[in-house]
Amino acid sequence: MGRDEFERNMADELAFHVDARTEDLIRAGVPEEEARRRARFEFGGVTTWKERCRETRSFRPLDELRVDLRYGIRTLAKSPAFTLAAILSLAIGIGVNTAIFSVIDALVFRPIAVPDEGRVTRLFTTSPQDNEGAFSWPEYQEFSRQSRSFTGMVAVGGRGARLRRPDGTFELLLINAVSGNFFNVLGVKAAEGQLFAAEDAHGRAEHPVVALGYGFWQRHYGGDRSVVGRQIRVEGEGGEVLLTVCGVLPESFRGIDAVDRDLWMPPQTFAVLRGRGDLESRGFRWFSVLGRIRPGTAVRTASAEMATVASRLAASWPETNRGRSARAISDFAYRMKKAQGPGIAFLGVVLLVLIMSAVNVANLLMARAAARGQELSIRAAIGAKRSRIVRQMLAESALLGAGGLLTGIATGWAIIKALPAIVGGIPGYPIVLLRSDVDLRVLVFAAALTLATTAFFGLVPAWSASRADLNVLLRQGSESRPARGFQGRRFFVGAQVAMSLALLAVAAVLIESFVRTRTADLGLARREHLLLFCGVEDNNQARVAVSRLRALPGVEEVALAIRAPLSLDEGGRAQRVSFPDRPEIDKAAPLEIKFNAVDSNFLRVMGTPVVWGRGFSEEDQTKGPPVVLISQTMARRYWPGRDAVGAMVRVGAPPGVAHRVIGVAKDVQFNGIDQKPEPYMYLPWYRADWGEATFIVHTRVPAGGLAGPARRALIAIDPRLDPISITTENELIRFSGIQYRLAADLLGTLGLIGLILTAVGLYGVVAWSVTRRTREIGIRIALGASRRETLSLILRQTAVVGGLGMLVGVPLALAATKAASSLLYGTNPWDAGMLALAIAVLAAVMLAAGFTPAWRATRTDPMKALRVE
Amino acid sequence: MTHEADLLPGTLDLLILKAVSLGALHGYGVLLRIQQISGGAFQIEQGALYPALYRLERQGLLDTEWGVSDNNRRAKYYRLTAAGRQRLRKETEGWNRTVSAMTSALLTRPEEV
Repeated sequence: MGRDEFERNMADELAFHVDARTEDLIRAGVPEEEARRRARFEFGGVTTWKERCRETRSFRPLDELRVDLRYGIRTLAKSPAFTLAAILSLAIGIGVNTAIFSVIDALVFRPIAVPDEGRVTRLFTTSPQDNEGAFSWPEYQEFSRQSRSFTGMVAVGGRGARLRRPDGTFELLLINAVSGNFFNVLGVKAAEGQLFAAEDAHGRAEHPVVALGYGFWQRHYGGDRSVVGRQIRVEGEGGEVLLTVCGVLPESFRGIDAVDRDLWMPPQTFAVLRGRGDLESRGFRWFSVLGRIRPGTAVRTASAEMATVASRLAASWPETNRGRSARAISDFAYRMKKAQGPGIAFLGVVLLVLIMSAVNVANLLMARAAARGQELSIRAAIGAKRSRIVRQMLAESALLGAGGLLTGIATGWAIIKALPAIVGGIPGYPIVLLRSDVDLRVLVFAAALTLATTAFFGLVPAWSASRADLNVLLRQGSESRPARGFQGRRFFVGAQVAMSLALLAVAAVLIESFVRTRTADLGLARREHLLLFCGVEDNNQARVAVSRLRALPGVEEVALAIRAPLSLDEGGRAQRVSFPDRPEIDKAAPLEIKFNAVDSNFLRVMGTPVVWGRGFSEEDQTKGPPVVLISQTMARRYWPGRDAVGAMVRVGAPPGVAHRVIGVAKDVQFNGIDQKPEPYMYLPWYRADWGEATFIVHTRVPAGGLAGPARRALIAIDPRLDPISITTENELIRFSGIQYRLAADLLGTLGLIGLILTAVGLYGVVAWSVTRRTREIGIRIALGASRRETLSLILRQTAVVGGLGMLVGVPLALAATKAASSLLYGTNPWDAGMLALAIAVLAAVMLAAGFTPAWRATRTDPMKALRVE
Repeated sequence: MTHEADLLPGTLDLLILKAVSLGALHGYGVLLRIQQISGGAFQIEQGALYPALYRLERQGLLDTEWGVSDNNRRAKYYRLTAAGRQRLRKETEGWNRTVSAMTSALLTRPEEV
């Protein structure tokens, strides 16, 4: 028998009883009206008896749960504002936090996706300037052979290659050259086919193999399994080569950094593609090296051994390894070190928002409990068991929690899906930078925390109601709720105000820092520059390209360089350098300085001033003794207090070619807008063959609009000039500051959410206390209190709660902005102006939240107020 | 009404079983029958009958069936099941033992001690 049928039958049966009794009484001569009244009286409380009848069959827990849930839905539907506010608070808490944490986790915390990742160790070569240096291929081989601390050592180096599309155009691919033992040592298993192993990677130059990244496999082959064994055409140094696909990487393995690679190849294959030069050079360090530490070996021991091997290398190969050492650090320690700044700061903020949303839900539930105390006590008095009431309240909380959880998951999922679009790709490349999924652990954590909150604060009122003395409650009405609940709510709102202030303060300094990224002096002018990065055959072709581009309508000037500033390649190439007038520098350790090769237009077009001496002339580019321009930092570091112009710099493998310094250029933030200036040199473009070029097109119109015509002009010269990437300098600047923009966006949003949560909480408390004091206010007004007095009476309460919250909030805000200082660009974390702004905004919002109910209080009609009870 | 007595705990169930054993009854009928056979001696809160009836039904001592009452209304009739009959017999015996024990106890005179 269903619940409905049971209820209907029971109602019928009891009604029949009362009716039959009424008829009997009428027959006995009692007037109808009186008879019905007496029949009802004799029967007793129908609700109670029904409840008792229900209890006889309520041994079916499922049935009861259904009733509780339905009752819960009905109650929640009756107060939609409350329900919505609670569910939204939960959704924000769960959703935003899940999304943010998933992203941070993907970027920083998640370990390399390999078995037994605890033993993975990061290895670095070190020099006085750099303690996280990479390895050259010969160095990797030496370390791998000589060290005993590792069960295996692997190398991985990222490069680019081009894939010819069927229509004749090219696509840039990111490739990883990895040691043959890479997958074996790390324990990566193929999703399809097989990944190459150390043994079969030997002597296979005639059959070069390649493994496909999972993303590349999906993108190009739609996950087709038959790709294994097929050949793909990749553009190499000396023309196209055919590579045989041996297998596909699993989806879970995305390499050792956040960037998804398209092709993975052993060194033999890389040699076929790009020649052996990059593998034989001892000084070209482009491999990251990881080791699997032997069980029982301490990282410190391994690190010491690395240093020993490094000193042996320095003795054998002083030319490249003098002054260099090496070290090991566990992958975990490495990631934590990287995460320390931004990761921890974001986590703190995430936690803050999570707490705030939980506090908000608690606050809402407590307000509701106050309102429902009477209802619950009456139910307890008419015979509902305490356990029953508690179960019902729990069902209600569970409903709220489930609603919040579902909405939260949807919110988090939507944010994560929208993130790549918000963050954008790497300028000029069709690469999605950020891949992350909803992280289950985070979801479970956030859900557990919020559900625990709802359960706890949902139960408190049920518990106290079932213990309350009915008589006291009924007699005193809603005013009788003990003041304790109110104190609790005030405490929560005060805490919210404090946390909100901290959030706002962090948001304020981050927004300030973002604005600074827009205005900071980068050593170059923020103009309209279209950047086309291409491979060039020779200098002649480069000259033709420059003149064709200059002829395009809308073009002001064209410059040529290897790379444009901020172009995501770690500042470009470096060259061995020595100074004939400073031999002691060369003795200490071989010095490498980053450089760019530029034409005579470059500095002028980029807006980089030459602060001393002169820039390149047309003649410098081709004729006369070699010359070089150096940066201010280089001049200051190596010729302190002296005139660098006229000094000699030997460039290239010793002895190097002597170049005369002709000028000093202003420091340019070529690596990233937030990096310290490094020594930097400019060499004349046309004195060597660089193989690749960036055409910098200064336009009179928005630069992006010329991308199409510029690309067509290049292809018209040679299809191979089809740019590998097209972007604008402003885009690169924007991208270089993206972490500041993201931080500002994120914290701005979170600050706003926090502000709304606080406003809702404060409004709730003030509105509730106004309702509670309606009678008192009515009396005051009846006794002649003016509107202003009434207003200030209520607002004083807001002021007290808000003031105390702020008092606690200021130190909290100072701590929070300090913690966020690694996210700041040229901004003082303890910026008094920004803190004042945060306080002002919060105060204004609090005033507004408190004002509405206070205003309503002034409109209280004294007569009605007195009748309320 | 004559002498009204409060029901001893547990006796309502026994009275209901006895009332129903004399023929199928609806809830109101049970009330009337109890008043009839007890000579109106017990004051029963009428609503209290129903939780008791539901409980006895749940325990399988009563069977129910919807029928039509004398005044042509749909009514639920209770009937004793075999288990109910057995329970009634047992409870009656138990009651009789209690009553005779109580009676002899209460009639005891000083010289008989």
